[in-house]
Amino acid sequence: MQMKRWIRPWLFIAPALLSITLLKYYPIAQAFFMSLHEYDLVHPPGRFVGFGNYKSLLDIGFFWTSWRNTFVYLVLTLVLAFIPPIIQAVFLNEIKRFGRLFRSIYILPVVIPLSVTVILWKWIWHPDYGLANMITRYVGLGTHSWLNDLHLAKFALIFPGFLGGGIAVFIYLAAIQGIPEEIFEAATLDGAGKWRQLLRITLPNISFVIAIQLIFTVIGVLQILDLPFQMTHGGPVNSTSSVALGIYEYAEKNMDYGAATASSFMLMFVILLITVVQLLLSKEDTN
Amino acid sequence: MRAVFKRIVSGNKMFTAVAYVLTAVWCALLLVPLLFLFSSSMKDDLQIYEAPPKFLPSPPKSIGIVLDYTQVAAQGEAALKEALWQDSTLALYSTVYEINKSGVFQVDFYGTVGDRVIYKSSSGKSDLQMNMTYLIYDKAQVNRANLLEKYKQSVDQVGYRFDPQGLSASFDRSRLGDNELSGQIGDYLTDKYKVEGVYKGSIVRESYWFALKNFAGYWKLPKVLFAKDEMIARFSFLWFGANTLLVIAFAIAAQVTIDSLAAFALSRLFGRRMAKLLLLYILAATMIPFVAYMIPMYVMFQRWGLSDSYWGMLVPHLTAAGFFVYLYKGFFDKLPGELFEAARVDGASEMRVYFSILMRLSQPVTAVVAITTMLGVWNDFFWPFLIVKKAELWPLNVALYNLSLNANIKQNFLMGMAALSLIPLLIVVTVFSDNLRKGMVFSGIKG
Repeated sequence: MQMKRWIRPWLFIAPALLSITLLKYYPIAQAFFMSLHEYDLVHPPGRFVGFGNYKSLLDIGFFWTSWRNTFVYLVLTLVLAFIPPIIQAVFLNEIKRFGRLFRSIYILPVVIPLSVTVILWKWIWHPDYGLANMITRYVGLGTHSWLNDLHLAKFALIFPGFLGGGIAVFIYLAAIQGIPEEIFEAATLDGAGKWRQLLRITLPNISFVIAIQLIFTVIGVLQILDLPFQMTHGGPVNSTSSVALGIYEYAEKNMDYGAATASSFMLMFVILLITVVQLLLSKEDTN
Repeated sequence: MRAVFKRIVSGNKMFTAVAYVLTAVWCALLLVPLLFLFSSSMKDDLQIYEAPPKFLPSPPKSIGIVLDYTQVAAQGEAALKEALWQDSTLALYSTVYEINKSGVFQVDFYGTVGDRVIYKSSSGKSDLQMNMTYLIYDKAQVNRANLLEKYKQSVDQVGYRFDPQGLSASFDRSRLGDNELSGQIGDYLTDKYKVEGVYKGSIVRESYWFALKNFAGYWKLPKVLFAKDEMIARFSFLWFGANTLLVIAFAIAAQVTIDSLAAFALSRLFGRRMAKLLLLYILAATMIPFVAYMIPMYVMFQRWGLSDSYWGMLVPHLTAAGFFVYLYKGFFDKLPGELFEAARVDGASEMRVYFSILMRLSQPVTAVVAITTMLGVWNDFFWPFLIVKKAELWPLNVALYNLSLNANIKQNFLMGMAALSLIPLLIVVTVFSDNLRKGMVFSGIKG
C-alpha cells in the first residue's frame, strides 16, 4: 500500500515523460551524436569526426547562402507580413456592422492548407498566365518572372503574407478588447480623439502581445521549410533555399546525415540564442 | 480651410470611416486569390492558358450533334445499336479534339430516325479527356481506327440512352445548324471519321452551368491516377480527407489524455518541488524546433519500421505538448481544494477524481487543446510528406502537393482539386467561425 501511493503520481505522468523523452530528447541527442560522425546509415554510426562536420559546413558556399536567404526571409516577413495583422485588428475592433462577415474572411488563411496556397500562388506568379503580371503591366511596372527571378523569388514567396488575416489578427483583437474600457472613457473625457487613443492607449497596451508575436514570428521564420520547399524547391540557383531546407537537402540529396544534423544543431543554437536575447529585451522594455 | 480639413481628418468619424474602408479593402484583397482559384477551376484546358488571364471566362458551350439513322435502322436493331455506339464514340471524342477552340465543356450526341430521337449520350469535356489520356485510350492519337478499337469500353464509361421507339430527349430543331461550327463538324465527321449516320447539323448552347461539368472530371482524376489503390479508386479525394481526419482524431485523443493526466499529477499528486522540476522538463522540450530533430527522427522511424504506415504519421502526435500540459495544470490549480477533499472523503480513487471531476470541469481547456491540435495537424506537411510515400496513406496536404508535381495534370485540374478540397473548409469556417476564433486566440499565446 505504501509502495503504491508512491508510484501512483508517476503512473499518471509516465505517458507524457516517456513520449517527450523518446520522441524529443532522444532524437535531439541523437542529432548531436550523428553530427559528430561521418554518419553511415548501414553501419551506424560511422567514423567519428568530432566537430569536423561543423567545420566543413562553414566552408560550403551553399551553407552561407541558405543563412543569408533565411535572414532575408526574416526581414521580408517583418516588413511585409508582420504589420498587417496589427493594423487589421486595430480597425476590426472599430467595426460594428458586418463585423461577423469581416471576421470570417480574416479567419480564412488559417484553414486554407499550405498546399492550396502554393498551387494558387504559383499560378498567380506565373509569368504568362498569372494574375501578378497582368496587374503589374496594367499599373506600368512591367512584367517579371517572379518565382524564376533570382532577386524577386524571395519577395514572391513572402508576399502572400501581406494580405494578412489569420490567427495573429484575432490575438491582437483579443488583446485590444482586453484593455479596460475605463481607460478609453477617461481619455475621451480628456478630449483625446480616436487617433490619439490609438497611439497613446491601444498600441502601448498591446505592445507586450506584439513583442510575444514578434518572438514567435522570428522563431517561425528561422525554421522556414514548407513554403520554399513547395513553392520553388530552393531554386532558382538556391536563391530561395533556407537553412531548414538545406538540412533536408544534405540528408536527402547528398545522404550526408552528419552535415544535416550539424546544420540543424547550429540552427537550434541560433534560435535559442535569439529567443533568449529577445526575451531579455522585452523584459527590460516592460520594466 | 486648412483647419477645417485637419479637423475632419483627425476626427473620430474619420477614424471610423478609415476603419471600414481599410477593412473592406483588405478583406477584398484576401478574397481575390480565392476568387481567382475558383474562376480558374471553371475554365477548360484552353481557357486556362489564355494570356492575360480573365476573371470571368467566356460562357461555356455545349455542342449537340445530330446524326440520322433511318437507313441503318432498316438493317435491324443489332446493326443499328452497333452503328450508334461506334458513331457516338467517334462524334464525342472527335469534337473535343477537332474543335480546337476554347469554351467547349460538353458534347451531346443525338441519334435520330426521322423525327424520333432514339439514342442520346452526353459527356463533359474533362471526362472525355480523362478517358482519352488515362482511363481507356492511354494517350493514343485521336483518329477513327484508334477510337473504334475500344469503343465498347468508352460507351460503358460514358453511358447512353437507347430506345428504337423514340426517347423523351429532344433538341431545338429550329436551331439545328444555326451556328458557325456546324459546317466544320459535318466535314470532319463524314470525311475524316466516316460516321455511318447522316449528319443533320449541330446545336450550340451557352450557359455557365456547363462549367460545373469540370468538377466531375476533377473528382475523377485521383481515382484514375491511383486506380490500383482500391480506396482512392472508390472515394477519390474523400480518402485523402479521411486520412487527415484520422490523424486529427488520433492527435486530439492523444493530446487530451496524455496532457491532462500529466497535468493532474503535477497539480495534485506530486510535491511542489518535484512538480516544478517535472514541468520544467516538459516545457523545455517545446523549445526544441522540429527541423532540429526531423532527420534523426526519420532515421529512427525507418529503423522501427514505421515509415510508410499510418503509425509513422500518428506516433509523433503522442508527444505531450508542454503548452497544453501547462494550460491544464493552470486550470486544475485554480479548482478549489474542497472539491478534492470531498471526493477523497467519499473514498473516490484518483482515477475517479480525474474522470468525474477534472475532465468534466475542464471542457473549455479541452476545447482549446482540440482546436489547436486540429489546426496544427491540418497544416502539417513536412513530416507526413517524409514518412509516407504510398498514395493511399497521404493526407490531403501531401496529396495535393504530390499531385501538383505531376506534369501531366493541366493547371485547371490542379486549381479545381484545390478548390474542391476547400469547399468543406469554407462551410466549417462559416458555421464554426466563433468557436474557431476563441480556440485560436488561446493557442496564439503559444504561437
